[in-house]
Amino acid sequence: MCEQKQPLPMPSGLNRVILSDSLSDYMSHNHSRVKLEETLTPSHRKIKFMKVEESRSIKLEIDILLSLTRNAIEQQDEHFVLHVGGQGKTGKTILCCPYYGFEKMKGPPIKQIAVLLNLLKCISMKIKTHDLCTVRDVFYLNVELYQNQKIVATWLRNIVDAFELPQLDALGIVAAQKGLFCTPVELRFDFNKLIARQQSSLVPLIAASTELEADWSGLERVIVFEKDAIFSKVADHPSISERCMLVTGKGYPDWLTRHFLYKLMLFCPDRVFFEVYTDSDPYGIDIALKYIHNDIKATYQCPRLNYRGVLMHEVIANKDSPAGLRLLNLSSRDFAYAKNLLRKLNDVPIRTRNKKTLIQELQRQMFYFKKAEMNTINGSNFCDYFLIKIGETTSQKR
Amino acid sequence: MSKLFISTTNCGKAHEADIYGVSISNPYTATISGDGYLKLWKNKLIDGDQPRDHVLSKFVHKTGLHHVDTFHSVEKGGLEIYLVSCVSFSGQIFIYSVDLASGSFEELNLLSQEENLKSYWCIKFFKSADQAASHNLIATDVKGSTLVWSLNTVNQKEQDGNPDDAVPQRDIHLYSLGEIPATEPKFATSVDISAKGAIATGFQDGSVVVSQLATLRPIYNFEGFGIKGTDESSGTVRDVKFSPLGGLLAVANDSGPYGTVTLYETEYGERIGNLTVPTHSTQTSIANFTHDGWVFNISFNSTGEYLATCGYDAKIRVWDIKQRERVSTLNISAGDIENEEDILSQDEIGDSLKTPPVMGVTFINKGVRGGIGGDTNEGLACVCLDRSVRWFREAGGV
Repeated sequence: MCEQKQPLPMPSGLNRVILSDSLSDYMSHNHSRVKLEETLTPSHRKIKFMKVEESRSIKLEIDILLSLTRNAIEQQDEHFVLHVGGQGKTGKTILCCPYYGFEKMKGPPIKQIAVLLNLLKCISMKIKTHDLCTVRDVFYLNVELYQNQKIVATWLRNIVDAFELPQLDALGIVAAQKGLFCTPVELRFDFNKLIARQQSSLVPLIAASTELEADWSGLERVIVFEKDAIFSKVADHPSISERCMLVTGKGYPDWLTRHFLYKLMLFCPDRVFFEVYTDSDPYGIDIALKYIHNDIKATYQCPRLNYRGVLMHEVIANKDSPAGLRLLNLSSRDFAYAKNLLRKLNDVPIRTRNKKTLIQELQRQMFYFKKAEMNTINGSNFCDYFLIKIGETTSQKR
Repeated sequence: MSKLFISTTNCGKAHEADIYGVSISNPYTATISGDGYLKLWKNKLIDGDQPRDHVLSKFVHKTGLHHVDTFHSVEKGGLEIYLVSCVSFSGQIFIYSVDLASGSFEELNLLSQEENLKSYWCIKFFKSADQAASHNLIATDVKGSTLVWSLNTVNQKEQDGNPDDAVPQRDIHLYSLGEIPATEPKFATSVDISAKGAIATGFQDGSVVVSQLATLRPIYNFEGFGIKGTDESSGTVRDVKFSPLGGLLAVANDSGPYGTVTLYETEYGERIGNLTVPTHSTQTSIANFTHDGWVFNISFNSTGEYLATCGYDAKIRVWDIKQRERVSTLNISAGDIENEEDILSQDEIGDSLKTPPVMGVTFINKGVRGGIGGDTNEGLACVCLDRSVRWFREAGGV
């Protein structure tokens, strides 16, 4: 993890006046640029973040890293160089402190080092106390240093990647829960945790190893909604919520909701239908795609989900309310978004039926220059629409 | 006096996805679809021939295609030119020259690099009857500009320095004549060019701008007359067409959930009136519309006496322009398709297509289609959302 660099021997003749070496002295003794740079490089300590072996705890690993950096400065009077990451998407980050070498435009990374070491300290503390906290909690520990939550999230992800850990929760830090769900059957997980039936609750914090248990016979389908307004309406409708598990990520879903759906997909028997309902606009299509497929990690996707609506044609065919109220014009921003999404959709490896439907819907929205919100369907009665849809689904072969 | 049209032939499941456009010229009926294919259906079929057995297919773009136009001309020296241009959902223009003998496609890169960067929507060829004047190509982009090119098809190659012995050679080029910019960025949905040298551009907000080809300056601006929804612009213009001699302009625009067609006189820019059907609805206060659904496409016959309109209500209507009266209504039903296996009454997601919206209609001149009555009677071709192409001819006189 750590290797020390021996100080270079001073050029002969300079032994007497070590403190008064001037740049011109160095230059006269080093004839090439490389050599000069080498001579001027101070002795330093390389500290690498490496994969955490299963036999060692993360806390121990972090404590060693922290003590190495501390010793370098306090006791050895050395510079230290941190090598973070390597395998991940972000690439390798190299930070040295105190800064030496050629000045770069970005300026010395002292602040980044402060953030990184601070976060490591905080993680070590949290692991010690077995405390679960959210990224936001961490951010509030030192707002002045972190400045914004995104910086914290990025560095935490870097640390996870550097240690080659599966998820953020291995560090005792979880993303804040955003998604809601309501289940018709009691859901048990992590030995002693239980979620009561027929209650809207936040999507539980689940680890990669969590196993879900329930009496699956009481579950007919898992339904995902884009909007929480629709979610709560449907949750209040007993004839639906008694047999369907309802999930919403409130707009673009967070990782946890997607991971929860992935888990459900694994543990639910095959006969359970998985369906997703979104607005009939380019963003709705994108949200549906986010649930169904993930490029980076397979544990954040649910390919079993079927995109079911709300379809443009259903909104148009619905004559209960004036079309002016139901349909909105596609703005130029929506159109550009749709165009890019359509390009992307063609290359996404998802089931052909889902792909065809998503592409068809997107093309229709673009061709008609219209979009519609799911709230307006069936005279703003989504439950009625949904019951009709369910009737159709059960009569059809999947 | 009413006109009667009878079905001559049809082809179900002509494409894998929604068909968005149709264009006809002597050799082929061209259709394009969301599946990214351009198909050319041979017109001169002998009785008993199935359209499916006489079709040329070309995969153009993965994002799907939405507008198509064809150009067929016999130039000096008997040189026959057949061009097809289509626009993809990604906004690119594709132009093909089709060899009529072998049926091979040759992609032509006629646009400059800069022109290729624009995002196009609608495209139209103009065939000049005057040998001295060049043909034209016009296209609209999503920012509201109308781009105009002159289309050269033949190059007179002088032999031995004697211009009289010039041998015409096929040489297809576009020369940019300029651009008619929109006053504000808005979606230019449709475009047409008249024999009198006028260009009409329809916009999403319901307005139509008529400009002069010679100067590229706007001369008239027509506002839509539909029912306005909550959004001030639910009057999206879906098609504009000049009569063959250029004296009239027909504009199809939305009127809330309905579709209206308005006629304008082009010399003085006067509105002549609407084509309307009487309604018996108690729900609508202003009940004058052309179709009980958006009108997607309109087409004049070769004499300019009749106008065919098609819409979301699964109907094609033919109007007598002088009387402003409806002379024929064709009700399209998915069950019409001859070959039972090709009937598509429901798409993959269970959307009913029993009465499929008609996405495109075009008059067929006398002598274009083969078979009985093809030479003596005019006809109609249409594409519908049940992924079918249908051909009709006027009854009688055979």
